[in-house]
Amino acid sequence: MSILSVTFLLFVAGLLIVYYLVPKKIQWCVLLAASMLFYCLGGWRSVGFVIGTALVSWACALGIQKKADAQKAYLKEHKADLDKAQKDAYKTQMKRSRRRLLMLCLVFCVALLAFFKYTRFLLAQFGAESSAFGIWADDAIRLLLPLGISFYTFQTVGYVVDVYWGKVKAERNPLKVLLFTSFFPQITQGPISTWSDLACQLFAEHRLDYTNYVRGAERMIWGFFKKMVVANIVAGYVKDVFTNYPQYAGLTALAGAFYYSVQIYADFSGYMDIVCGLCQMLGIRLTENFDRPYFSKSVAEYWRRWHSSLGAWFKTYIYYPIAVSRWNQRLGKWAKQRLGKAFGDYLPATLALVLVWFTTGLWHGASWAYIAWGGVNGLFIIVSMWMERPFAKVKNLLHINESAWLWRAFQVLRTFILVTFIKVLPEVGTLRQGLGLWKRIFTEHTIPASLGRLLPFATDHAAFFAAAFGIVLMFAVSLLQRKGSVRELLERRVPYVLRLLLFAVLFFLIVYFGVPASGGIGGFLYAQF
Amino acid sequence: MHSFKKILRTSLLFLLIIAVISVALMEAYFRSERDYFQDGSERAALAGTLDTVFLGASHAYRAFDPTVIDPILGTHSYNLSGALMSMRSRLLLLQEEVSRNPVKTVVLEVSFNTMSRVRRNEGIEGDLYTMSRLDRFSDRVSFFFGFYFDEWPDVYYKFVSEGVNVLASRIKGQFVQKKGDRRFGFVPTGPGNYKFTDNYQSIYRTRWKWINESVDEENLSCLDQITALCKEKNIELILVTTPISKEQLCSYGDYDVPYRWYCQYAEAQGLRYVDFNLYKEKETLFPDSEMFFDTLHLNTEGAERFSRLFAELEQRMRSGEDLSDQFYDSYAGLAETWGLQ
Repeated sequence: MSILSVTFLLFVAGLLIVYYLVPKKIQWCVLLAASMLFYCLGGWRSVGFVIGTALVSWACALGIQKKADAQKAYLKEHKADLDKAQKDAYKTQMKRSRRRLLMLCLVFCVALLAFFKYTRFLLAQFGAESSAFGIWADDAIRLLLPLGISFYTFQTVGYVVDVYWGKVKAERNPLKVLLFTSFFPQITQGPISTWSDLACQLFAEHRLDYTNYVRGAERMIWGFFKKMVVANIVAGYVKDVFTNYPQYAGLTALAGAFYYSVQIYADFSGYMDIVCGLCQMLGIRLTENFDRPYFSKSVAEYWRRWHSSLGAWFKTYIYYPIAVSRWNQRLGKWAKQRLGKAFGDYLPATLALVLVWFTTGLWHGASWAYIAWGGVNGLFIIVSMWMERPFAKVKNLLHINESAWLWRAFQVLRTFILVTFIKVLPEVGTLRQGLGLWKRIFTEHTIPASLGRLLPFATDHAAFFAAAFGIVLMFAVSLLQRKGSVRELLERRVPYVLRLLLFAVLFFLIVYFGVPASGGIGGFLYAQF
Repeated sequence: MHSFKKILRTSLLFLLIIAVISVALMEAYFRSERDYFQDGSERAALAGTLDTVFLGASHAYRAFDPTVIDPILGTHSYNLSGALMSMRSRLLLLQEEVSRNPVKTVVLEVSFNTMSRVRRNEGIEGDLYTMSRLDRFSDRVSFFFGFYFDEWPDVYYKFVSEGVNVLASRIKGQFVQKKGDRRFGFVPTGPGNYKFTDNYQSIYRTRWKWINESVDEENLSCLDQITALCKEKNIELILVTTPISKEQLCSYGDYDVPYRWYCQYAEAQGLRYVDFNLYKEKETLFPDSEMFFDTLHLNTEGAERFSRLFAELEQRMRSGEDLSDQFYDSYAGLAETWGLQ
């Protein structure tokens, strides 16, 4: 079921009615039923995979929890009987059995993810055509590819690891774990929530609340506007440039690249606004994924503010475990002694970052272009980490006032340009094509005689100005968000009826400009990941 | 409970705002420059006077000219046909006119694909034209709910977008109320510039199009309802196939399949069925390059000639004359006379 369909809106309306009519104790069951229905409508063939993942995670987490509880009880019971060595031996033995369960879960989840996402890529690397392996290797993978597998796999893995680390208690009810895994607003594109963030809200009792309802609905409309009016109109331009970049002048190719930055932000954050708004109407606060990322002053900061739930996941479950692992710390000490303090400080983090960005690239897509994209991101972050001290010295030398707005504006603009260049790399097609677009941007710099020559793809002037208006509006909203929630601001400053009229205008802009723009480009960019 | 009331109030107010703006845009849409959209009020003004109506798709829309037919037959007729008009639309428009006019004759155009066309596959366009011909707002609303559920967004989008366009052109002072040469629902096409072939043998030999033989259940049900309504109101129902070009006739497989079906239906229901493609003088009266706008539609001159022919033959038939010898028995027989193999 497409989120941009009337069916989805009716589905949401029905859900809201049932959700607030049933006894509050079983509200989560309504969410589970809705999630299963949503999942089945999106592709009933793959529903078994999400249920399987949830059940394996539930069983492993419960097993880990039981062993941890048993260990605690045993040690308490035999506190006086055991000496330290016996206690340590027992703890090691229990930890090993817990780890076995964790590995079982990880292997199951990651193997499924790898099978569906990377089989064709891997076969291609070995020169084998996937079709040579019969229907299973090609058509079946495409047919069975479970909806949102990248997102729900990471979410459930995070849950089991948290149980293993003792950060959360394992859930006894498998249906609750299934809801956590398949909660429909976030299953296709995240955010990737942790159990401690989401579970308490999913299973809590929620009263119908006017403020939540209205603000949620307003946010949904805003999300639809961003996706359907801005992202989908601009998507047509981007597609044109990415397909025909060899024929376009450098500036036109550059404009296409910037449009892509706008498109992916409006697309992904628009989706987040829709689902966060929907969850707010249900009384659930979903993890936020965006914090005005294009106002970041460095690539590292950008990644803390863009798709932050994914960044947090990688940080928690890959970066930290590697950075603080015993072998990596030992390597750091060795480097400090042999190569100097800077090496000692940065080498463990660098190794962790290399792995994080390699996996981030792979997570986004099974292609060399995405691996290169992850590599370039990682390179910028690693280089800026290593160059932090020399840069600080240079800034001191040049008497640069870091709090001056001009310097901050420069940093923001520089970061925006950098991330735009990095973003387009895997999106043109192959890595060669991505590099081709880069090259094109820096060649044939004739200044076009008119706006029409600069943006030859913007043939529908009304749609072009609607998208431009949307971009300006998004920028203005982002600026206002520095001081707090724009919806709260509207509530305080704008009279009730005028506010309704404002959202009615947005509604008609969505219908007038968004519906035709969404005809061929209905899907969300992040759903492909 | 307090929250619920506030939510209800806000939701209803928001929906009311949306509804009011939508209705305003819809009205602007219905008053836009398309030919179809202007005859609702004309027909409302003629209420109580019409005794003959023509119903059909574009073949009929471009064929029956009441200003030619009425003086010959002494009738007060109106052409209710429209492009892509489905059988359901024909039924609804007929119901509307029968309820407010002393209708005595209904001429229902049926072509080779009228019964086999599936509305579901054709999209909303034809029904949108019909909807815009309904005069009353309440009729349009009830017609809207006759669209398939998944078509609602497209229909709504059409209202909003066309409505906004009309309003915008009015604000810019560019709006032109197109008053074409309309003659009681009949709109002439002009001469047309289709390049007809004269190599019929080659088209016939390589004919690749075949007529879908299966009759759509919904079409049949609507035809049955039209027949029942006419019987109930003591209205004469005549099934008519209007002329199409020789090129078109040569390019299809077997016109006898729908022809036989209409003959059998007419016989079973006690109706008259006339297929003007089988009129022996058809080729002489309606040469492709002179009388057709394109392969399926008559041009202005062709429509006038056909309307006169229809009225004169109708007059003779009403006087009890047997004209069966002026028509071929089948399309196979027609092809034989053309020497096509």
